[in-house]
Amino acid sequence: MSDFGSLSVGLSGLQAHRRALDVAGHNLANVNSPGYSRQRVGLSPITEPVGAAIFARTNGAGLGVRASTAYRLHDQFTETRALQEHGADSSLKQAQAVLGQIEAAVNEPSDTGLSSQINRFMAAWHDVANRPDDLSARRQIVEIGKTLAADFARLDGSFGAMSANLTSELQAGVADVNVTASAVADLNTRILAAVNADMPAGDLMDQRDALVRTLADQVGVTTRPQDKGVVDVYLGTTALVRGGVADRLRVDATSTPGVLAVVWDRLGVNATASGSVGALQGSINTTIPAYRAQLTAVQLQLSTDVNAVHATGFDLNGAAGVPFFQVGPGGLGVNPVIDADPSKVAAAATATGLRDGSVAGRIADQRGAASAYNAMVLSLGVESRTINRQVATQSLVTEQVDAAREATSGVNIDEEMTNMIAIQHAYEASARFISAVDSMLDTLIHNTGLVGR
Amino acid sequence: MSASFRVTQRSASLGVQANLQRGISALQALQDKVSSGREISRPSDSPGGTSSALNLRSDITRLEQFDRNANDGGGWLAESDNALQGSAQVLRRARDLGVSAINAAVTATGREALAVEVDGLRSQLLSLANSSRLGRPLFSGNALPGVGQPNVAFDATGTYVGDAGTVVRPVADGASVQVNLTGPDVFGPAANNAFKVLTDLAANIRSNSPTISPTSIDDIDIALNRIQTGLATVGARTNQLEALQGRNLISRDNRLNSLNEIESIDLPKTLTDLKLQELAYQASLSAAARVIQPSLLDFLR
Repeated sequence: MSDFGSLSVGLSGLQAHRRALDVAGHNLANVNSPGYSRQRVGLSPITEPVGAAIFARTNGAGLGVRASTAYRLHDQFTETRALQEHGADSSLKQAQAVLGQIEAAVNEPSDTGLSSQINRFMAAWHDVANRPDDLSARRQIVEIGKTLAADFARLDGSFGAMSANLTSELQAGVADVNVTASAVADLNTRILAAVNADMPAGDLMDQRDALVRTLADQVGVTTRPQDKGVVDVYLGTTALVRGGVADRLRVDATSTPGVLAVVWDRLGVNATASGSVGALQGSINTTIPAYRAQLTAVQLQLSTDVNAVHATGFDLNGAAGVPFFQVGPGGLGVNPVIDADPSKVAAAATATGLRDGSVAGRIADQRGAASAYNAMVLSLGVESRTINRQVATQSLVTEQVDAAREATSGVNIDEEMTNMIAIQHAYEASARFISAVDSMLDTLIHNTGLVGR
Repeated sequence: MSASFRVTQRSASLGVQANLQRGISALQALQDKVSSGREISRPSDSPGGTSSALNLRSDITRLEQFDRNANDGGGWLAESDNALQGSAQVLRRARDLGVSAINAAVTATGREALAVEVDGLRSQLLSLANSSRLGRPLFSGNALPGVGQPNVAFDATGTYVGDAGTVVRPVADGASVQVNLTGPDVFGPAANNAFKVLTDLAANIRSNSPTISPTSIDDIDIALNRIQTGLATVGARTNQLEALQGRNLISRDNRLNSLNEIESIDLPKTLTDLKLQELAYQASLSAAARVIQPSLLDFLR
């Protein structure tokens, strides 16, 4: 090695440790950036050519140090698990929110809920039974019946409004997924270009991974890493993002009436969405319709029970009882004929003794609707409680996974400080080496040939 | 968080945040309970409790309605009792008049006076028999008069225009009490009812015979006997009604208690829980302050 070659060995040490110091600074600057993966510079010795050549001059001391491109500390397995758990977490939280809304709308147990209204309606038939010849008692049962029907309609209406809100939330969610997916595809393209050019791509990959986690929250995706830092994103078994190309999703409300499907925009086939979009879909297609159906069943039961007994009675004019309730497309309603003339309430058991109220008394004993409604509230309570527990468990699991991810990729200030100290010392040592070489050269240049002067 | 993990400032602060979040949401849940005084404010708080609460509320509504029914039935029985006591007095007076008319010394004018009084008693009895409650004659069964017909149990001729219908009040689950007596029950069958007996008595007194037939007096006794039987029935039913009503009130109170136990908070227990949770929250706050603060920076020049 030439004498000046020793200077370049010192220089390589200065350069490599400058680089390492910059990366430590970058890590410290990003200590609080969500999704940031700490980076390291790989240091490796520059060896002299070992192959024997005619003019090869080697003394085996090596040529200094080389700093590689900064790489990020990142665990693909933890990342994959984080995607799954985040998808499950946001799906459960979405379902929990919907059940919470349903519970708030049902508002039980209370003195104002439907259960109390049904009880009051049933009890009011006793008032008719006590005073069958009193038109005011009959008017009262008709009015209470109308209030009850309006309460049923109001609850059903709030289920409908909930469904409509969730539908627009679903539309917005799917639009969001499309935007995120094309951003992921764009980042894949840039990462490929950077890696091909041997440029650092760690920060781009962090950005891309953060977006993929957003996708996991939204629709529950899985990833398949490809060459050169590119990641393909799959929804079920179909690629949402392949390299630099993103597919699109859309909401299809027309193919199956009453069912909102999330489909692939190009092919029109169903996409297996989970995450919050999947949960929204489940709430709109399954949960809310199920409770609406149960509510309708309660109304039908009420109407059937009351009408069946009512039909055996006779009204104040001696005519056989007409149906008290009607169930139409708009839900439960008091028969308008009875509403117009409450004397048509059939309270008497015979056409001859019209001051009898025993039929009204028997109507009051019907408890089918109340117990059907109670069963509905019970199943709502159980379902909601179950999902509350699941959310609590899942959020612990998600925290664990995040902690594992943070354990691999997070920045620890103490660690970086220690690294900085080590780097600084190495830098100082390299500088000292350069000045040692310098003073050797100085001796050689200025102080040789002066013997005997 | 398992201890084998590498710990970073961010993971420590995320862990602290998650713990604080759990602490404050538990605190808020307890504060909600204390401020609302309710253990169950939505079905998921306790599905089983909610179901019991709904059933108890339904029972309570029914029991309260049974109580109202019993009050209404009690009114019927009390007014029937009044009317029957009055009728018994009227018949006793008629019997006295009949007995005094047997005396041969009574002059024709005296007989006429007695007969007029008996006529008066008959219309008094008729009005008692037509006593009504809330516009409904007590003794006419379930009959509803047609348009233009008088709303009575017995018409002016003393003919029963009601029917044999029963009026019952359900006062407990599966228990009903009949609260009415029909006209024929208490005033006798059409052929020989109390009004005909009094009409016959007046005619007998007027007929100037020195003695009146003892059968008239016997007939009055029979009518009086029917009324007494009616009074005894009313008394027995009132007792039955009151016993059932008392039982209803007790079971309603029991259910109100149960509902209270299910729906309302146990205040001392909830307050203790709240205090403990507050303590835990403060402890995790101060722990957070210590965990987050130190770093190597504090110790380097």
